[in-house]
This record gives sequence, structure tokens and C-alpha cells, in this order.
Amino acid sequence: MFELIVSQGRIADRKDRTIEGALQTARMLEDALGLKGKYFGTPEPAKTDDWTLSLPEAEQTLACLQAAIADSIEASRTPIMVANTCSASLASLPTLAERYPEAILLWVDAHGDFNTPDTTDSGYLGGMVLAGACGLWDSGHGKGLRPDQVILVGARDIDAEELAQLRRSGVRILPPEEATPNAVREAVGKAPVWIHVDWDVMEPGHIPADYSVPHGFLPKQLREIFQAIPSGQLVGLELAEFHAPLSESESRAPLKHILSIIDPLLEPEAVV
Amino acid sequence: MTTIANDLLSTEQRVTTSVTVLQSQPYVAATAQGWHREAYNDVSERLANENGFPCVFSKNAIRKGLLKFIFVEGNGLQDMKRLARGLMAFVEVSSDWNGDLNTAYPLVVAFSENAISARRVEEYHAFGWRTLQRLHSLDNQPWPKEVPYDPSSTAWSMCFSGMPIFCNMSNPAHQSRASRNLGKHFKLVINPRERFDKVAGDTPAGRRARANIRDRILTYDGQPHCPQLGSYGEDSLEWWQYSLSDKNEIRTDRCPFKSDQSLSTTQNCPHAGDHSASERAGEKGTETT
Repeated sequence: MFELIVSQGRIADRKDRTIEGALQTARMLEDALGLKGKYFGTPEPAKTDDWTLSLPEAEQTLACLQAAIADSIEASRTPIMVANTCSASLASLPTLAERYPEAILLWVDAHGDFNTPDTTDSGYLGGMVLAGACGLWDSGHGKGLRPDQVILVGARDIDAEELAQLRRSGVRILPPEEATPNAVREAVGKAPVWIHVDWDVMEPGHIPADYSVPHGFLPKQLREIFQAIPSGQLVGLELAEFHAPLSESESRAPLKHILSIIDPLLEPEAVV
Repeated sequence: MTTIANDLLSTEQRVTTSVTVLQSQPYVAATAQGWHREAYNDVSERLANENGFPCVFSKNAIRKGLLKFIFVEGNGLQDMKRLARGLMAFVEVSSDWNGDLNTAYPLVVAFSENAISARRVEEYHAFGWRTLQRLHSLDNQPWPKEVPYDPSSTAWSMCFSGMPIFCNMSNPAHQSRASRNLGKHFKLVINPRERFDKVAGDTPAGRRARANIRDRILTYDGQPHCPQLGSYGEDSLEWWQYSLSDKNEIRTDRCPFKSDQSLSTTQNCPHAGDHSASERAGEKGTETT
């Protein structure tokens, strides 16, 4: 059974409309799945601040999300975390690592998000999430994820220093050209699977995201990848960084894409 | 330009060796080896490193890492089917274009030297037209209703998977027309027809863009732009512009390409009985077995 956990507090957001994007995505999923989401945090305007400021500011929202994820797993449910930014995964991934130590994390994102305080040029917290969860720096929200559990899917825009860290750590990478359904199926094997999606992984023009880059997935390509993941292996899903258009009517098409893409994952799950 | 550095894709980190036919410029830049690397470097050097290359849109595309690539290893049916799959993928991504030049991907189809035996410009062009004919025979989508079947119509365009496309044939035999020489491998540079019309169509900005490109051709090629270069649908035959002669000359030749429809209605076309037509029949037969 799924449980919907929704971030509505600012977590290092540098642009507005991703909190609204999470809200719209959550409402769509409530309708599609017939369940009621749990909402955490209070929306605040975006601002460009350094991770040293945005991380403590997001403390409460992250703590609530982490507790909700843990409770959901404890109750044998499959959490779906809908978040404004990837930074929310600072809360979820350590819990994943603790509860599912054999799980594979598919980090479906145009970027590596593997910077540390020493390598980040932008100071953006969202670019440091995976490295934090893997213990390369201390976010204050836990660690424990092993780099060999992580597969970057669709990554194609990676900083030089970040690249060196990824290489040293042994994180596996499937650029869009290699992220075929078969390749993903082989990579996850029979392990439990936790999927994180940053919508910037898509080809620009389908689902608005703040940091989108060319050469991404078409909606049907990502749907086919998710179709390839054996039924019952999914133990958690995260959807982040949908930049909601200014009018709800403009949101219809991207929301439809989102639902179509993740639909193969929403079949009734089995316990892994 | 987005980057995937070579060492990121080191052997121990690559999950699979299976890759899609259609590949992005950053991926090719990071992974290409052998003749793929040569072909990529040739394109890169000419478009990116030579200020004078006349097509400013191509220069912009490579600077931003927007090119797509397909590499064709041979001349057999499986090679053509693979190329057709890649071209279908290109049409698919181009059909969903959001109108932003930052995601307007030109496609470079590079052919191995094993795929082609040619020395003269005309021989390369003949190969190029045979390839288009074979792609047409593998195309399972109908020819668009708004595009004439007959290449002698000014409104004709090559079409694939329902999309009108412009196919620039570049080859190493070009000496005088350097702008149609992208290195030692034969290459088709393909763009959706519609996109061409948007950026260089019959608008003030489009006319300025074309004038600029033609001025640059004069400088780069050392000769005025080819007299067959015109505006789509107006004053020139499109197919002439796919395969420009090396030196400016009056042309009276006929297009080797025949659409399914024109093949069914043309009894005496000059190339109907040649290699391309027989291949076409053979390919269709093989497809069903």
C-alpha cells in the first residue's frame, strides 16, 4: 500500500513554483490512488542562499519528512515522497539505507548531486544530496547509503570535481544513451528498488524543471524504463522539482506526463 | 555545453555496453573511439574551431552541445534498418520540439568508409541518394499529404516517419565547396524542414540569416554560393540543395529519388531500374521473411 508524503516547506528552493509543483503532483496522486497525503512544512518564497543557510532553515521540514518516511516503512507501506527540491532526499535516503540495506537507489536526474562543501561552486544544497547521504559530508540528517547502491540514470551534466568524487566512490552511471529498459532491469537485479526522479532528467519541453538540460528522456522512454522494473521490487518513490506553470491549465499536460511515466510503478505492490 | 567527461564513463562505472542508435554530442564526445572519434573530431574541428564555417546555426549547435549522431558501420540491410531506427528516434524527439533553439538538435549521420566506395563528388551523392531511397523503403509511415511526391516540384522535401526533413550531403571529395566537406567520412546532416523555415524562412530575420550565411559561404568556399541555393517552395529545387556540385554550374540532372507514390505512377524514370530500386524490392522481401 502506498503512502503519500508531501514537502511544502522551503528546502533550499532558489526558484518559486516547485512547492506549488509538489502540491499539484500530490493532488493528482491523491486522485489517482485514492489516498490522502501527509503534508509537511510551510511554503516560503525562494531565495538564492548558500547551503550553510538553507540547510538549517529546512531543519524542521526535513525532520518531519524523515519521521514520516520511517513510519511509513515501519507500517509496511511504500512511501511516495513528493518534494519541491531534491534536497528533501537528505531526509529520506538515510532512512532507506537503514531499512533496506540491500536496496538499489535509481537516482533519475540530469545531474549527479554528488558535490560536497569542498567541491560545490554554486553552494546549492540540492547538488550535494547524494554525497551527503553517502556520508561524504555531514548533513545532520544521517548517512549510510553505500555508493555501490546508487545508479545514476539519465545523468548528463556533471561538474568536474563532482565527477572525480563519483569516480572515487564507485557510483554507477547510466547516461541516457545507455539507460535502456534492459540495462536498468539488469542493474537492479532482484534487489529492492528505491527510485528518485528529478524532472530535469526529461527532454526539455515536457515537464518544466528549473535545471533542465538538453538530450533528456522523452516521456515514453522513462515510462519504458519503469515498466522494466519487476513488479513488487519498488520500496519507495520520490518525485521532485516539478516547476508548476503559472496557470493550472498549463499544468495539465506536464501532470499528465508525470502520471503516465510513473503509472507502471503504481500497480499494487508486493512485499519484497 | 553539457558535459560527460571521459573518465566518468570509465569501464568500471559503465553499467552496460548497450547504447541507443541516436547519440548526443556530449555522449559521443565522451565515449567515441576509432572511426567514430575521427568523424566526430572532423565535424567538431570544422564547425567549432574554424570561425569561418558558414552555417552559423550549426556552429551554435555544436558550441552548445546540441548535435545528435548516428554512426553507420556498413551498407547492408541491417545497417539500414538500424539507421532507420535511429532516424525514427530523431524524428520523435524533433516532433516534440518546444520551439527553443537550445533544444533544436541537428543530426549528423556519419558513414564508415566500409559502407561506401566512392572517390568523386557525384559518386558520394549517388550513395547518398541510394541511402535516402532505402530509408524511404523502410519507412512505415505515409508520406505527408502536404508534401509533393515529385522532387521536380519546388515544394518537395525528403520525408521520413511523416516528417519533412532537409538532408545535406557532405563528403571528402569536395575541394572547391569546402562548406560541404566535413572530413574524411561521408555524412548526412539532417534537420527538420520546419525548423529550417523558422530560423531562415521568408521573414525579415530569416532573409537576413540566409544573406549572412551566403556571405560567409563566399568567404569560406572562395566562390559565390551555389546558384541552386534558393528558398524552399519558391525559386529552387530542394533536392539540388541536398547534393551541391563542387563548382557552380548550371544543372539539368534529374533527382534519383522516387517516392512510393511516384514509383507507382512513373514508367520511365531514369533510375527506377537501378540499384536503389532493386534494393528496395529486396529489402521489402527480406522484411517479411
